[in-house]
Amino acid sequence: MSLFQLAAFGIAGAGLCRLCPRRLRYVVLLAISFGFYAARALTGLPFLLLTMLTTWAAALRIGRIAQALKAQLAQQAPGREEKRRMKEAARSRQRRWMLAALVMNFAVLAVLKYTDDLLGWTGAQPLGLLLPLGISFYTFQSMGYLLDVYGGKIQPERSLPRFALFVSFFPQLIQGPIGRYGELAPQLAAPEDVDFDGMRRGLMLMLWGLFKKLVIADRALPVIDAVFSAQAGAYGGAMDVLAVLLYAAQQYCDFSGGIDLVTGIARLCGVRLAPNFRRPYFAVSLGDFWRRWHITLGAWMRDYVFYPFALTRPMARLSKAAKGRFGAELARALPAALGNLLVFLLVGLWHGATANYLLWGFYNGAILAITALLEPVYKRMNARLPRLTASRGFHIFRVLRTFLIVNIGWFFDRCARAGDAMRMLGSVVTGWRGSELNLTLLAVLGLPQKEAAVLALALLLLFTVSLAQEHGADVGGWVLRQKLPVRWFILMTGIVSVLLLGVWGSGFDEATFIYYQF
Amino acid sequence: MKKKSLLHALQTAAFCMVLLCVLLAVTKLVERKASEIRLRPFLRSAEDYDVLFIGDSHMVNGVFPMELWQDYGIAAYNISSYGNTLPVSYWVLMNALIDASPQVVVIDVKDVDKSYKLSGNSSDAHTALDGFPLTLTKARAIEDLMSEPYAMDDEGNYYADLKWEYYFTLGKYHTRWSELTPGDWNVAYSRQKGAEMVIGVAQPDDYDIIDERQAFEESGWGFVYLRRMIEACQERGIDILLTHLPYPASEESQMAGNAVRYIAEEYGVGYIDFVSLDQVADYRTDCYDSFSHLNPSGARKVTDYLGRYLREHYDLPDRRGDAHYQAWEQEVEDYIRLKIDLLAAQDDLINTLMLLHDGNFSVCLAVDGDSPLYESERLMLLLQNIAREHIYEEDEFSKWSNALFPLEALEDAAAERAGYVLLVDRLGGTLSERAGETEGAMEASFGRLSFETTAEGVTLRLEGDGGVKARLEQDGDVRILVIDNRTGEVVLQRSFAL
Repeated sequence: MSLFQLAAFGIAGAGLCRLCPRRLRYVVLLAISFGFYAARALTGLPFLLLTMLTTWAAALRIGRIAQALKAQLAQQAPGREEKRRMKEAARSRQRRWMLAALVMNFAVLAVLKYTDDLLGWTGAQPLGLLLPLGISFYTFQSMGYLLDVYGGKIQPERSLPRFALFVSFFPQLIQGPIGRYGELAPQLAAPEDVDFDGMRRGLMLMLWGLFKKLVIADRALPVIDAVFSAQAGAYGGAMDVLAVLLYAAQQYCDFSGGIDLVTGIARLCGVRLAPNFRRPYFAVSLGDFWRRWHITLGAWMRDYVFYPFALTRPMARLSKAAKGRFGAELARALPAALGNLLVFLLVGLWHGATANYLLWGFYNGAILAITALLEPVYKRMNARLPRLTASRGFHIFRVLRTFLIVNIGWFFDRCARAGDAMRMLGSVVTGWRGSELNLTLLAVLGLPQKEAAVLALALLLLFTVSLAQEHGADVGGWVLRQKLPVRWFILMTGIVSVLLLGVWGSGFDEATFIYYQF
Repeated sequence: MKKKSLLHALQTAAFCMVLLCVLLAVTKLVERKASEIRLRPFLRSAEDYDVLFIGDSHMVNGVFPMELWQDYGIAAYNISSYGNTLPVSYWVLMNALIDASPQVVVIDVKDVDKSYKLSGNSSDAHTALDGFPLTLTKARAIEDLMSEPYAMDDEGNYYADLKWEYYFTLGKYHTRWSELTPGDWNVAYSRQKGAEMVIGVAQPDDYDIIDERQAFEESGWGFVYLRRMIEACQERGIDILLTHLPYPASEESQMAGNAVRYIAEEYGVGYIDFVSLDQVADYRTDCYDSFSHLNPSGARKVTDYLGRYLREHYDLPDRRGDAHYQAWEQEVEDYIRLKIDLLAAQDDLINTLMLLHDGNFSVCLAVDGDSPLYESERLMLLLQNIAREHIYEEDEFSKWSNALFPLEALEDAAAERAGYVLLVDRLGGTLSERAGETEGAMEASFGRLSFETTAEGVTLRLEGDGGVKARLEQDGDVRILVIDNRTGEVVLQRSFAL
């Protein structure tokens, strides 16, 4: 299914949904979602059903244990000790259900995801296991729900169809975002009526997503592939830097473009998905970057890994022990630093069980850990130089510094082997070869002059729009407020640009997103 | 509220309409024009054609309807296309017959034994079909041709996955935005009624003619669709003529061609197997490539043969002078202008000599005594080919002769290494030669040609209408004047140094 087919499917699905009474829309959406999944990845359907059923059943069981305990306590009015003992017993039973579902689902994910990587470590022949469509995303989403039920934050869903829709809502199945039950389920149960303005905004968001994906991300791909898969020393540092900058653009436009597309489709269906990107390359620190990039995964990690880990008793003890030796400020920051390290090692592992991803995770985690530990120093510096740190110049410096740090990380993310990343980083310093930055070589690498010009203009447009949004502008609203001829001109230019300048059609696999594989 | 909703609905509908128009315009702009160039002139007046030619590249390059018109007054169009298989030809014909009502359809049967519906080049079917408007017949064509689930193009794409690109051609051609040329904005439509000249003279592959009784069993889509074409035409009362246009065919190809003989007999339709006839084209001068499309010299011979055959065997009207066909006169002008331009574009003696085998032009030619031309068997053949005459014996096609016209003085000049002058006056129907003379003159319908041997070699001077029409004294050892028979004007004067 191409992106245009996906878009058309989404629009048709949304239209069908709109024709139904509001209370029945979730049934239509469920049917569409299952139809979509079956059409796209029939072989993955059993895995989706497995996660759906086990999570639903385990959460329901956890809820019933809580209800039974409540009823028991109300009926028996036990003493304090007995009450505590009953609660612990119930909690233990709940934990068993939670762990059973959690371990089973993550185990399925891990086996499918890492078997080939681990075989690669041992030098054995990979099995070529295919990941079911969206397995990471629906597993994380379902496990988040399970943990929320276990934590008593939400009530378990009794209706299997409603829960099934929460897990399988088709726009999310491709590459997220990872939704939270509390926010998503009520919308899915009764999708809102989308007014004319909402429809236009949904469609414009889809168009913008297609533009980012087809005109920018896929246009940049040949150069990136050529440079990152070249023999050692084939290109100098200048070309390596250009390739990683293009990769930065490609990564962002591929992932956020896809998210824009599915968010637009969901919007047409009357569902508002959680935002997953907030102009990450305008971040002023690496922590800020990760709060703007793949926001829903970051939030998931924060709520279900970082805090549970940082607030564990061993961490509290470690913090206490460090207090005497390194001071209160550092001791307070220590659990956060270690939490960040753990989170990013897990995020690296989520990308793949290969050295480059683990190194990439460690790189990000280590910088965040150091930043957390140095936080008191920064605070003091900010207090001493308030005018400097509040200046626009310093803000730009911080943005550029963060961009540099992120791009160093992208070398590890993109290179197939960690050694290649180190080699390329080395060549940036020792073998610049600036003369390679010419249009002739770019054409040889798969980006002819006219296409390079289109890519440059598209990036300029992306930057301009992002900058305006960063300053609070509602760009979509601005378009819709224009007089009809201007508005139509902008929209039609956008549509024609995507169709004409986008990379799609036979010979191109535009429907493959980078984050499919994760 | 209702009023607002209505306004929004109207606005959306209007937007979609405008968008559709914009997309259609963009699609038209970026579309590869090969199909439109050839089919648009046909579709503009499809009902005017009495004969349609259908086949693959061999037919595109091998039959020139404009020559048929000039020589026989037959109104014909060549709707063939590069890479056409018989299944594609069938559907092209079905689409053409929506508007056209020809008396005769000439079908070339090359590759009739092929089992696939589409060639490996997915652009071929685009070239064949894109120019037709989207109709139910075209949709049926696309659905049928792409129906085989495992059929793939050369790039590894399943045709079933590419089907939508034949409905929505922007999917195929949107990448052409970076290669648009002025020709995409201002399309130059075919001036050759669908045919196309390919310029070159190749050495043909070796071949042996096999016995006509050696034939394949019928198998594969080619035979199926050939039968469908015959039946579809017969249902409509259209006569069929099958051809196997000449090329140095392999034994397998000849066996396929021989199998068609039985189909022709079964349906009672005509069949000319030029391959086994082996007398119309001379592959030494008439092949564009070795495997082996005809160049214009070969195509004119084949076209001439077909013209005579059609005139003899079918009740086709001579449309010349018919007021309805008045525009064809201008089209002949354009066609000859095209041929003149092609001649002028050649900087190669081989191609120039090949192109001079053309009834529209008379030729004055001089060769220096010391010219290496005499040592080249190929150039000598091409020189003789200029004046080659088709000798035709009534009702005895097997006696069609491909003998070269004897240029006796040329042989003498070559033997004695003497200067040589040739005058082929097609308008006056005369041919004159001089060998070894230092100076002299020859009379032609378009003027007086005088020649003189100087230090530069044999120079030519053409006088007429009270003045000098052309003087050719430049360096070189072969000098050529080409005269347009209709006007008597010199349209090309060129010296070649070998």
